[in-house]
Amino acid sequence: MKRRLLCVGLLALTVACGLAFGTGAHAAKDRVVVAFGSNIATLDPHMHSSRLAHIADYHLYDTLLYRSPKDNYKPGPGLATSWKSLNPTTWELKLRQGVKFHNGEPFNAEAVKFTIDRVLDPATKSVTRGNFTWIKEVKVVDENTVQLITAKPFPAAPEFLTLAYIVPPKYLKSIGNDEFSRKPVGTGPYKYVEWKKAEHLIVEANPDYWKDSPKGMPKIKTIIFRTIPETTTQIAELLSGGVDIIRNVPPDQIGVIKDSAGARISATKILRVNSLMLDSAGRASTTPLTNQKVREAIAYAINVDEMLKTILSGYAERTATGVNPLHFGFDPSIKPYPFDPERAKKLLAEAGYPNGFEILFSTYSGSITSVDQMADAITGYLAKVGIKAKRRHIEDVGLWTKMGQEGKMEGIQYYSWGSNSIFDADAILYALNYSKEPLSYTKDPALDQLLDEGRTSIDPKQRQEAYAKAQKLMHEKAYWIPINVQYTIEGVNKKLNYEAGSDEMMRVYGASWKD
Amino acid sequence: MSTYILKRLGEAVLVCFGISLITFLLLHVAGDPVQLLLSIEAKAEDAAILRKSLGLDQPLFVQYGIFLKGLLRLDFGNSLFIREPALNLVMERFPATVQLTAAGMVIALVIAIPLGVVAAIRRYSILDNLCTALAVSGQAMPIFWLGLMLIIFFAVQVRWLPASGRGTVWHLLMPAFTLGASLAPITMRMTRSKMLDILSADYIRTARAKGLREQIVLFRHALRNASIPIVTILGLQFGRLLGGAIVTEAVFAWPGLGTLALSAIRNFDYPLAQACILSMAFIIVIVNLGVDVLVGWLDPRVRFD
Repeated sequence: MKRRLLCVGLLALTVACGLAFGTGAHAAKDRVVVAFGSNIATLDPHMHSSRLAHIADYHLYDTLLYRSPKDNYKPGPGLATSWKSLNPTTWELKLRQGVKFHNGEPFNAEAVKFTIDRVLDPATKSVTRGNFTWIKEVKVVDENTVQLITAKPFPAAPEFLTLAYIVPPKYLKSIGNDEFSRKPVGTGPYKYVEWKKAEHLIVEANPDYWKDSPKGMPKIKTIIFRTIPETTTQIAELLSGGVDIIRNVPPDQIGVIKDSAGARISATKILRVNSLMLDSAGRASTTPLTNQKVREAIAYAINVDEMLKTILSGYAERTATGVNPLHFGFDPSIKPYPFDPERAKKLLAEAGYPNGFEILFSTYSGSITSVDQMADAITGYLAKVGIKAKRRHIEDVGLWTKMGQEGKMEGIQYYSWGSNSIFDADAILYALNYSKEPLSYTKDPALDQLLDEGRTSIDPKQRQEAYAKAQKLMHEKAYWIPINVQYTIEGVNKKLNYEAGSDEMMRVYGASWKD
Repeated sequence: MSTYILKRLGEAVLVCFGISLITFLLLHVAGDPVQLLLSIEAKAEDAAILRKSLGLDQPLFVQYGIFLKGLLRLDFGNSLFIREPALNLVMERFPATVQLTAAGMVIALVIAIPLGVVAAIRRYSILDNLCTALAVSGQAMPIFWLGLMLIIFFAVQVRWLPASGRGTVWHLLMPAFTLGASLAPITMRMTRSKMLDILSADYIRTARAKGLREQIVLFRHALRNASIPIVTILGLQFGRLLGGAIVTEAVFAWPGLGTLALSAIRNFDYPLAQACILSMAFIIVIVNLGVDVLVGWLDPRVRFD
């Protein structure tokens, strides 16, 4: 009897599996499934700083200015058709006419004022408030014109306006913040349909989307953003056709996807730059790093090209100056230090360290692709010229940032900076190298002066020159050792027209199926 | 019996209180959610404003007091990231975890009991040795590894089953089997050894001597008596099963309590992590109480006083 039971059970299982065959995995042409590594916390664009939630926001809402990949991610027209600075502390925006929110509410100057006032109001508890604190007041000039009054001249205003998601005042006031975060209404190319927090967010093409949008009219009816925490599971889903796009493919899994029948890799460089930050100012403690020759020696000692080729499978790019080629102000004429361990040893001897020295080398979790392997390689290269890097790994990003801000990061830090999605050299050089900034371990009055000039000037040519000089200075003094510009590596269904974006956004609204 | 249950419930409250204190302290020592809420590029002033608005600038004991006060009304506070009542979020996920653990338990029993019985009857046979080998390798196999192997075979290679997610019964098969496989070995070993004990007992000899059919001897007399320690073991293993559910849920993107707890802990989302951990603790306490009561019903010799 037992045997019979077992047989029946096995048979049932086989039949069940047979039935399941073919029902699951075939992607329908009217929808695209995107895998997210973690849950979205809220659909209110002002209540999070999460990349994934921003991607969802990008489909549901529109921003005042928009970065189009076609225009090299420069701030371009979005809900605002034009913007100009009337005087050093006033920006005037002309707004697009005839745009409606998904609920029919009109988009106008009132909506812009309401949105910015809402974010700035401390009672809202918005975590994106810091992106707008440069605005002192929003003035409604007429139905389609607003003026932004700033406390100080703020040339980076257009950059920050690309983060200004506009929300509908009437709807939001009628349902309140909590309900809004669950049932969002925007002007975007896709409309909210269903959100099961742990499972998926479903959005549907907005048939009344405004024409001339740089995002284009949506071509695929439904987008499903699915939460799949495990990378391996995401890859399995991609290979089996259960999902069409996955993010953050680990470099060692690229081959698996490339060799598969149904999927391909889409990769492109992003704003994130990874560098070794050296405590050249001796801020945390006096170490050999205050000596320029020692810093140069470190730059010569590390074979960065080899690391990028082997560990990152070539999905990375060098930058000699630590500024990203995508940043305004990048100077391509400066070449990176070549790999020359003999020269490194000679420089160390000249600096008075013929037998090398020991130094703390800190790393943290997150942001840097293959951080452990990369840090291992760096440690190895340093050891070959006699520098013994004592490794310290900090798991908690909060603690990492706090220690950095409090000046407790002695020695070398493996730092990563995303520039807050601002495509300007100021966004990385100022925060990490201006002597008075909390995260800076560089102290150079000449550099400060150049960074000040770049920050306050409105003339692009003058800014470009200031940043070129700043980069040259930083390179010569080897204040930091830039390792690489990071890539975003996505796995994509071969039948889907879609490419990864340099601003780490996913523009699934622009995707379409090949015939 | 009712006084016994009341007493045990009282103990449960104490246990939960202790767990709340330990998790509260551990979480607050572990890290700061404010930096995670903001982007890493955010300024210190913005962090201070946010910290104050979330009440995280208060001394630790004040925060714990506020938490306890809320707890008395079953109010864990709002999740820091999702900004909704933490308990609602837990309740939303609860059914998925119950479904997975129940299915895992059933699969474990379906595998373990018959194999355990067979192994005991055919002691030292090839079948018995095979079962032992199976149990040892099953016990040594990490859950996530088994899960991934199943996905690679059933979802990627032969494409019979969906790789992850929740929805149809097909979605449930692999995660439930993975979880069940983690519980089956110990249950099988326990079944086998208890059956062996019992099969050599006097009353089994008597039953056989009076000419009962072997099936009745085995199932009505032997297995029924063996079920008492098996139920006890299952109760004790329930905590492990929930722990295994966390891993299984992560591998299969199963939207349950486990993944919620994991992300809450990673984000230092104190209220949500507290709600997850306390509700899991509560479930374990209740299940253990249930097992005790069940054992009493199965075994009239057990008395509650």
